[in-house]
Amino acid sequence: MSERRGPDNEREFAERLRAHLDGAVRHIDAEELVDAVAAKAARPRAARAWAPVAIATVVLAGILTVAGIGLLSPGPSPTPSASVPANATPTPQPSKTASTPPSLTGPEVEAAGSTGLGGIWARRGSTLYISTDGGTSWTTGSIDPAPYSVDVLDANRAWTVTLATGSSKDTGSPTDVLHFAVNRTRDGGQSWTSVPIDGTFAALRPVLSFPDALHGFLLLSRERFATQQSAVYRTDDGGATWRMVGTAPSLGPQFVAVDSLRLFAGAAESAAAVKLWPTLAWSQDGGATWRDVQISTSMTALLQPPTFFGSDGVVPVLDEQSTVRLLRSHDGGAAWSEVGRGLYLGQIGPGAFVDREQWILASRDGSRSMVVITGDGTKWGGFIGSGLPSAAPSWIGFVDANHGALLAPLGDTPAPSGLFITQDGGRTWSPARLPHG
Amino acid sequence: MRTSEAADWSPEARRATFIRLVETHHSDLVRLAYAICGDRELAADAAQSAWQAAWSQADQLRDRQSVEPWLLSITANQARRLARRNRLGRLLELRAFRAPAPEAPGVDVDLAAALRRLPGRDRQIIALRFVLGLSSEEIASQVGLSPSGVRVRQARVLARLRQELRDV
Repeated sequence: MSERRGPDNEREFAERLRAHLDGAVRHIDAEELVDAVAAKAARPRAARAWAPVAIATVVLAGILTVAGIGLLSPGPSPTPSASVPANATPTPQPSKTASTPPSLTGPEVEAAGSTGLGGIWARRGSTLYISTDGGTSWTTGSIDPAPYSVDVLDANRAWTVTLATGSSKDTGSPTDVLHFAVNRTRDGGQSWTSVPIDGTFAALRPVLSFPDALHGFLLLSRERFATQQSAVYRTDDGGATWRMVGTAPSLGPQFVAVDSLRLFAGAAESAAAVKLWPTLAWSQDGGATWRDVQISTSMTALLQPPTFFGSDGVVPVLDEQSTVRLLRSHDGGAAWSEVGRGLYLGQIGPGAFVDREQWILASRDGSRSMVVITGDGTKWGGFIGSGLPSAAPSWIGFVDANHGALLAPLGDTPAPSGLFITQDGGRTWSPARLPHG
Repeated sequence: MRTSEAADWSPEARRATFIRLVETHHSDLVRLAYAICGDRELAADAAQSAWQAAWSQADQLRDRQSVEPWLLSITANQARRLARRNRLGRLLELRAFRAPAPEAPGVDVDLAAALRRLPGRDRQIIALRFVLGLSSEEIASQVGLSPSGVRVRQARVLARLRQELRDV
């Protein structure tokens, strides 16, 4: 029996606990461990038989709506150059064409998103999948297997941003020497053309947004330790040529171009505490000048970029007390006011506006909970998404009130992510049946 | 209705970033896992599993600034999973009439026993607070309680440990 006695103060206890737990720590070689992890992850996996779990719809307990409050409880500056980029050069691509009829595979994908014109896209390795019918059928093309950002407009037109020839490794360090290229396809990924972006960069995060087929924007958002400013590049010819149009001291990576003039950039939730980015900034001259949107200083981060239905905009914002607040704009984004709020006691996950009145938020606590916010943010309800794995989703999007898609790990970690499709507004989900790439 | 995809890293960036992350966080992940599962071998396995899981999910990390809470959360899940498996293993061992393994040298047996008697979430809270130095707000986001709930829970656990360790 030990002669130690109980902790008389917290410091003594902390020291004793730390000494005890230090007993489990052994020296490891970080490179060796990472290489072992990478090698294991690269090993081919046996086909995963994933059985969707049928769960009766459960009304979430503890949903209160009191005075509009919902309580839910379960649980370098970029090289300043405005010159036209170098000539476009075709990028060699693996030959991949849509096969007819395709043999179908499982739902495993690495990334997914909504297309600009009401579709869904997904990436598995170097295969790009696009659906324009709510996930029922898919076309396939090729895509860079490690893009920083992807934007898909429709079944034919898509853009990615990748490292260009001559770049150093992107370690996130201000000493990196990075060159970026925007790649575009006009045939659903059958062929790609790569256009280098003028400038040398470091510790910047590239994000693409194309509001239409001609106009597109590339935001180079400042990372935490970057000494550079954020920069905005634009194209008016579908990505054939790019030019830098503006810089700003700091623009958040939650970026969307509503049209060829109005751009919004906001803070991501996880960096809100360090005030790295303004909660929401906007440009109404195509990225040339930026100013902060005047909203309450207690609001610290966007849960997703602003969404516009005509001139009406809506954006969900998180405040310092983790209360979700819905802001609306009726003047195209100049002024925003709060219309509803709710405190979600679970773990807030990705969300998507189904239409101008309905916002669906997927919990990331593994409970499969879907939170439905209507009534301008004053009515909060929820249900369990039947058929989903019990894992934290990373993305959700809706094509219309019924059809949508969700990206989530397929099982206990480590597990690949899978794409799930709903045809009833998120009540039931089934694994996407993607053709072979 | 348009939403950006989750962040993607180049393979080189991912490897370099992970090496830095391992160098910075691995020891703390092992400590946290040990606090939760109470077994050094399992703790080492849990930390390694956490890195494996983190590697697989790196594309889903939307913001690299959130990496520490993300790693802690994955590690806690892995530690709980391995501890559950270990409990099943111990049942099988009992059926085979095998003697439990002696405590490893250097273990604070009283503290280890007292920790084992705590619910898993309380062990996690104690480790996050007293080993990793997280604030109540940060711990709250890890364990799904409110910050005030964390503070209340932490005070109760400390009082209990104080009592138990004085009684030995």
